[in-house]
Amino acid sequence: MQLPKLALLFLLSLGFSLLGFSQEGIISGKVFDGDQVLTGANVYWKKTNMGTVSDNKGAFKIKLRENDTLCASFLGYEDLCIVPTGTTVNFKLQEKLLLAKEVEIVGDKKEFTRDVNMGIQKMDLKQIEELPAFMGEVDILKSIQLLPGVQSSGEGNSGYYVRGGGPDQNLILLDKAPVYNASHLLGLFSIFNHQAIEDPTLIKGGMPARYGNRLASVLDIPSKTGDFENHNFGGGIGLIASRFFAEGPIAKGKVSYLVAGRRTYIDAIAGPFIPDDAQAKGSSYFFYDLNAKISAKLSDKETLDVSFYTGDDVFRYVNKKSEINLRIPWGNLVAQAIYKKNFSEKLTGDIYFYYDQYDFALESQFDQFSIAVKSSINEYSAGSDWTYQLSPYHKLGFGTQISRNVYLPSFAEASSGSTEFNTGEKNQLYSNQAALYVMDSWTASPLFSLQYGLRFSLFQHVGPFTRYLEPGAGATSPTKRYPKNQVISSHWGVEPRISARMITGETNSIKASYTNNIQYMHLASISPVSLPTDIWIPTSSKIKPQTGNQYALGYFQDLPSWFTEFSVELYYKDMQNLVEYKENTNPEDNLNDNVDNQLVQGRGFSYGAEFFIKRKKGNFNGWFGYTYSSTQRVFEEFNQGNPFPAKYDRTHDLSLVGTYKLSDKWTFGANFVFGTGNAISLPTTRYFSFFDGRVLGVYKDRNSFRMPNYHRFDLSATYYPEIKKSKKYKYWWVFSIYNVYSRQNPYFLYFDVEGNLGANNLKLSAKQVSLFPILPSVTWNFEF
Amino acid sequence: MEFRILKYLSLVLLFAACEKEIQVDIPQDPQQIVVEGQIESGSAPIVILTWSQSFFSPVNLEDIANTVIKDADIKMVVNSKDTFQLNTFCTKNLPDSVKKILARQSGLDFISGDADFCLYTTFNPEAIGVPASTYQLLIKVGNSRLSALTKIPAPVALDSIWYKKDAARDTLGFIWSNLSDPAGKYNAYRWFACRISVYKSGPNKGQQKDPVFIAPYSSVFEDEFFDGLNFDFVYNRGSVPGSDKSDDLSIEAGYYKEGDTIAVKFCSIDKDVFTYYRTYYTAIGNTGSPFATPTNIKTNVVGGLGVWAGYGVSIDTLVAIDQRP
Repeated sequence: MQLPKLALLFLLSLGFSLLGFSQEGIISGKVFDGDQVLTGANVYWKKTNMGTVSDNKGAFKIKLRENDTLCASFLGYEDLCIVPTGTTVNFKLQEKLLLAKEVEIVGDKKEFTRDVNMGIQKMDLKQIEELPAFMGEVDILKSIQLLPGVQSSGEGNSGYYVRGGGPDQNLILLDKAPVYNASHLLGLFSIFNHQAIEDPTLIKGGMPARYGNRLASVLDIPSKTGDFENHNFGGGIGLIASRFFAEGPIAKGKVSYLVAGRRTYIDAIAGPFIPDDAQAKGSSYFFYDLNAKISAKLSDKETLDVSFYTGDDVFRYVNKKSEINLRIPWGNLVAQAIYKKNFSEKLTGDIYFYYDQYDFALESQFDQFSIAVKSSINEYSAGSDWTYQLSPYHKLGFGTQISRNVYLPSFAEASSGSTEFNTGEKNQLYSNQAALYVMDSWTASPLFSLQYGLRFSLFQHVGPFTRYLEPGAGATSPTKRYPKNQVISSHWGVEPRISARMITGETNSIKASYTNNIQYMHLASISPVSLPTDIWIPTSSKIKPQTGNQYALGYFQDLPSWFTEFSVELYYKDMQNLVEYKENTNPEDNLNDNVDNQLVQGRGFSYGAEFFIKRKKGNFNGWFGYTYSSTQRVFEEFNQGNPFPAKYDRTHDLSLVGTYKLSDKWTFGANFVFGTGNAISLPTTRYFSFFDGRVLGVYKDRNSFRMPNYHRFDLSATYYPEIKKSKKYKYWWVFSIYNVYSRQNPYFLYFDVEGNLGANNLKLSAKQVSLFPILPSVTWNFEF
Repeated sequence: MEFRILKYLSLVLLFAACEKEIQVDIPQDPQQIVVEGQIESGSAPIVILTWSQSFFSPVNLEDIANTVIKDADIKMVVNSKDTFQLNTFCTKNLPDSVKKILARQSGLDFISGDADFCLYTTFNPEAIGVPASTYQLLIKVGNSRLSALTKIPAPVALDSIWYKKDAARDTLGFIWSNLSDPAGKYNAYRWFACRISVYKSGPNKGQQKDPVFIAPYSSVFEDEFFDGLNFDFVYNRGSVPGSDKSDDLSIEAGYYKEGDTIAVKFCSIDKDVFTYYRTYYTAIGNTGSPFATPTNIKTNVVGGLGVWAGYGVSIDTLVAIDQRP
C-alpha cells in the first residue's frame, strides 16, 4: 500500500506545481547584471521565503503575494529587494567586490551547498595523478578509498566497501556499462587506465533513481573523448607497467579517436634471464588493458560514441619436467554505443547499447590429469536516459533499460587419462531485466529543493535451467528441467528515492535523503577477500533479491575565506537478503548442483558519521576525512544467529590527503591513513588429533577478534622539467614512496603450529603477516 | 580446485610478505569433549577421549596427556543390537614392548613414549570390526552424554598400485592407484601408506621408515564425479606433521624413493566420516591463508567434537620400481 501512495504523492506534487503557475496574479521579470542575464538566481518573497529561480534566459515568474517584498539573490552579487508596483519586476544585481579567486570558489560553493545531492564526491584526476601511487600506478579506486565512508578491502587492494555495503553492491560504470571485476592481480591494481578516463564521481548516498541494481554506491567513470582538432600522444613508463595513449581527429572537428593501452612487463623482462633448462621456464604473469573510442559529432545537437574496453590477467605456471601446466586467465570486455541528442533547449536524451562480459577460466594439466574450470557473466543491454526542463522549477529525468544476462556460475571438465569425470552439465542461468525510472529536481523555493524519484525494476529468471532438487546430493539428486524461455521466477519492486536540501545561510545548508534499492544479483565468495574466483549469481527461485534502505542527514558549510568546504553526514543503512556460502562449502560443491543451493541469506545494518574538510584552491589543497561507523551482519546459520561485525567493520577510519605546488616544476603529495583493524575469526580453543598428529582449532564467535590498527604514510613528488614552449613535447617524473615509515601493517593473522607431539616440541603461536614494507617507485610520463 | 590453485597464485602477492609473532588475548571459552575413535574391519575399536583446551594452553607431552579423559563410561552398540563395554588402557601400566606393539597396532606413534596416555578398547572378539555393520558409541563423562554412529562400508580393493618416477626427480616418485568404483551406490575412500623399509643409514638407521600408516594431505575422496568409473589417481607421500626426519626436511619430502617397500591401506568410509575429513583438511589448508574462510570441522559426534570412523580396509604392498603392472 505504501508504494502506490508514494507514487500518487509524486504525481500530485507534479500536478500541483504545474497548476500553481497556471493561475492569475503572476509577476514576471528578469534577473541580470547589466551585461548578461543571470541563470539560477533566487527570486523570493522576503516574508515567506517562498520563491523561484530564474531560467537560462534570466526570466522568472512568481505568484503575487500582497504586502510582501520581492528579492533576488545570486551568488557573488549583492541581494536586491523591490516592492512590486506592477506585474513586471526586473532585477539588476551588482557584483560583490571579491577577489578573482574567491569568485571561483563561489562557483564551487554553489555546487557544494546548493546541490540537492549528498554523499557525492567528484574526484579530480589531475590531483589523483599527483598523489602517491602504489608501485607508481595511478589508481582511481585506491584514491576513492581515501574518502570518508569508503573503506579499503585490504593492504594495497583496490577493492572497496561503501557505508557497510559488500563489494558486489558497488556499481562501477564505465560510461553506461557496469564493470564486474574492476581489478587486476588479485585486487592490487584497478583496471582503469587513468589516461583513458575523465574525472570519476562516487555516489555513496542519495542515489538518484537513474541508477539501480546495486545497494551501496555508484562509481561513474566517463571515458575520455578523443580530441577533435589535434593529434596528441602520450604515455608513461613505470616499474611494473607501461601505458600509452593516442587521440586525435579522424575527420577534423567531426570525428575523433582515442586509444589507450597498458601492460605489465615483469614476464617480458624476466623471461630472457630464466635459463632454458629451468623447470619453470615459460611461467609468467601479466595483465593488460585496452581502451578505444570513436566519437562523432553528427550535428550541432547530436553525438555518437562507440567505445570498447578489454582487459585480462593471465597467470601461467609451467613445470616441464613434472609435466605440470597451469593457465588462469580472467578479464572483462565491454563494448558500447551511446547516441546523444539535444532535441530542444529543454529536452535532451541518450540512447545506448552495451555488451558486457566477465570470464574466469582455469586450465590445468598434470601428467594424465586435466581439469578446466569456467565461470562467466554476459550482459546485453539497451536503454535511454532523458532530461526535460519542465519549468524553471522542475527538471525531469526519466529513462528505461532492458537487459538480458547469461550467468555461468561454475562449470568444470576433468579427466584422468581416457576417463572423463562426471562433473555435471553446463547449467547457465538466463535472466531478463527491465527498469523504468522517473525523477524530478524541484526547486520548491529559493531555500528548499527536492529531488525525488521512483524506479521500477523487474527481474525474471527464465529457462533453460536445471534445478537440483536435493541440495548436496550431487549427481544423484533428482532434477527438474525448465525449457527455454519459461519463466522460473519473477521479482519486481518499486524503489523510492528522495533527497532534500534546505539552505540555512549564505554558506551553509542541510540535506537529507532516503533511498530504497533492489539488487538482483549477488556475488558469492568462498574467500573472505574478493578474488577472480568469486561467482556472480542472479536472483532465482531460491535466492531473493537484495534490498536496502539508506537514511542520511548532512550539514554542509562553505568557508570561502579558507577556500574550504566542510560537511558532516550521518547515515543508517539496513540490508536484507545478503548472501553467504554455507559453512564448509568447497568450490566443487557447485558442480552437479546449483550454486544457490549452497547459499544462505541474512541481513546487515550499518551506521556512521562522516566528517569531511576539503580545501580546493591555492597551492595547497587536499582533504581530511574521518568516519566513525559500525557494520554488522546477521545470519541465522552463523554465530548462533547473533549479530557479528562484518570483516570490514571499521570503527575509526581517517585519511589526510594533500598536494602542494611548490613551483611550476615541483608538486608534492602526501597521504596518511588510519583505520581500526579488520574484524577476524580466530580459534579460541583447540584439540589434538592423536590419529593424525595435528592441532585443530575450534572457532566460536565469528569475527570476534581485531587485527592491530592499520596506518600508513605515503609521499610523492612530481617534477615537471622546464621545456621550451617551442617544443612539441613535454615529460614529467612522478616519484612515490608507499609506506614511508615501513609500518608492518597486518594483512592477516593466524595461529601457527610447529613441531610434533612425538618429539615433544610442539609450539603454538599467533602470527601476523604483513605485505608491503616501504616501496619506492618512479614513473616517467610523456606527451607530444 | 581452482581455489586451491589460487592459493599458490597468492605467492605472487606474498613475495614481499613478512611475518612476525604477536600476542593475542584469547577469551576463556568452555571446554568440550573430543572423541577420536576408529574401528577397522578386522580390528578392535579404539577410542581416545580428551578435553579441548584454550588455544595457547601448554602443549608438551605431559600437558596433552593430562587432557585425556580416563574415567568415561563407553559402550559400543553393534548393528543396534549387541552392546560392548570399552575399557580403559593406560600406557603407564604397560611394559615398553607392549607399548610399541600397541603403537604399531593403533597407529598412535607417540604412545610408546613416557607420558601416560589412555585409550578405550575391548579385546572381545565379537567386537572386532565387520564390513557392512554399524557401530554406535554411547559415552558418559560425568553428567555429559555423547553419542556417535559410524558404519564400516564394504572394502573396495584397488585394481592395482604402482610407483611412477616424477620426471623432474631421478629416484623419487609417487604412488599411483587404479580404482574401479562400484556403480550406483555412494562410495567414499581414505588412502594411507606406510613405508615398511628401514633406513639404511643416518640417525634413524635400522628403523622402519614409517612406524604407522600415514594419510597424506587430502587423503579422502568420494565418488560424486566418478561413480562406476575406472580411473587412475595419484598421491604423494604423507608425513607426520612437524616431522624432523631427514627425508621429510630434504628434497625427498613428499616423495617415495625407488626401492622402498610400501604398504597401501585403502579404506571405504561412510559419508559422515568423509565429511569430517574433508572439512578437517579444509581447516588445515585454510590455516595461514588470507584467502580462506576459517571453518569448524564438521563432526559426527553428537554432544562433542571429533570423529568416530569406521574403515573397510583393503591392504596391498608394492616395491617402488617405475613400472606399471
